[in-house]
Amino acid sequence: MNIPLLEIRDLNFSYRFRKYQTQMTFRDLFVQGIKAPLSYFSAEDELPVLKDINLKLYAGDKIALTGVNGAGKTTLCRLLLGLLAPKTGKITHQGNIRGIFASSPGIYPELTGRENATILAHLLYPEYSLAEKKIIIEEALHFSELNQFIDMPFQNYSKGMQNRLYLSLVSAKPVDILILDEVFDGADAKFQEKITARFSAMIEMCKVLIFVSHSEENIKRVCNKSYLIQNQEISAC
Amino acid sequence: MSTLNVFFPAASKKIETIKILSLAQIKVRYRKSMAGFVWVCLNPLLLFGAQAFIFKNILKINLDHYLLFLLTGLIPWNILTMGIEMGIPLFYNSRELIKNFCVSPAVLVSSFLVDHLLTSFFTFTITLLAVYIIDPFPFTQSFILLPFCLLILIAGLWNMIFTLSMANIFFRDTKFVISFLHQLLFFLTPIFYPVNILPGFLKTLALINPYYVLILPIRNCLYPDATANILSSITLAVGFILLHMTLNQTLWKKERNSFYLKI
Repeated sequence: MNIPLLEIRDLNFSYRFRKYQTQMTFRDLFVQGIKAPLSYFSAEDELPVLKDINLKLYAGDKIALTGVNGAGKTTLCRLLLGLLAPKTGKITHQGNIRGIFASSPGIYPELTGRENATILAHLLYPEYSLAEKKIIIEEALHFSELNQFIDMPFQNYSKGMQNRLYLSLVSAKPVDILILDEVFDGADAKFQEKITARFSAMIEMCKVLIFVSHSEENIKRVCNKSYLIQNQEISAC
Repeated sequence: MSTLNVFFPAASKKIETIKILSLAQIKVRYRKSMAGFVWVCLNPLLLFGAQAFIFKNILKINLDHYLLFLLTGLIPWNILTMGIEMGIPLFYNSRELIKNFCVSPAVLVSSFLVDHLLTSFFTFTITLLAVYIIDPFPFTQSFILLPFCLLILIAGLWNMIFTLSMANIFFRDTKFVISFLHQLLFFLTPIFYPVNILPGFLKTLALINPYYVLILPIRNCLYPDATANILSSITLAVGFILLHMTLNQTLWKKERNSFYLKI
């Protein structure tokens, strides 16, 4: 029997509206309290983001998640990773899951590229042993072609160099379920080609891929199914 | 570590992450030279010296072993307030780790505390030795409870940083509000004067002041005072910590999704 590697059942998710709308300060809260004290006790509205989502993904599924900005694609990815808690419904998965959301997150800008790579390797590959992590780091550093810059502070890197280091590391090992949320942009043209090939090889080895992108070209290249999130609902397209 | 890894893999991973992140923070803080570490330790020591001089010689607070009395209030106070003020922007500054690498906020607070406590306890020990040399004090039996009382302080600080760093995501002026509150509380918390000199209402207020509740066990275990009841102060502090922990858990459950949205 074919068992889904990832299953979403009757998932509903919403953000609380008052918090979604404004960035408050204690000063605002104080002023609001003086002007309209009863507003503290008024019920918060909810902004529904995802409604009745049902999805089963099996080994070999490489799906694209599409939709306009704010449709709920990243929210769904964060739900899958367990960062967000659904209002109702259930998400279950078999095997390791990894989400990649940015192309060059700054971890510790004051530390060198090599030191940042060590921290990143630990965060990305906690299931590997120390010796295996060392091999991953060395291989990724070599792949990034940062050579003499590797022991320079990360904050001195250009945006492209930061991308090289990060993308080299996140694409070092495959995972059972991989979530890629708009991560392909940023590296220079020559390296872009090289990293795309490496990502493609990693994607091949992953059992399930969830790919969020606005680029139809990339979607066609890596995905075999496509889903659209629109009006809080998900549908195959 | 390997046994822990076998029986509690999730806990082992978290401890490993705390270790890695603490080391990174220590490297960032002290990588230039040892002078950075010396300065961080020397700063509260100098502050203690100046305050001790003012309170003892200018305000003329007359208590036996006043330096020890002051140390047992002022150093824990500094550990709490400096830790809180440095910890408030923690979640915001570490948003990349939280959002992109699913690092739990609880792990971040723990790794921050490792770095902060390393310097704080070094300062505490150095000051305690200096005070002993200047004004030798008797060691009572309750001294052995010091590690436990310090643990209480750490747990209390952990809770406070978690709550306030989370509040800072929703209210970006949290740091300024807390900084103002600390200035106010410095005079209202009996750290450089005995609680008994306060009038009734203020005394009651002091006894429920969370900062004082966490500081009192350390004072009671180090400062020889016949009227002090160390067990009741420990019970109160542990009760406060458990209550705060429950509140933090409830807050996290309620605000988790908004937290990830705002960050």
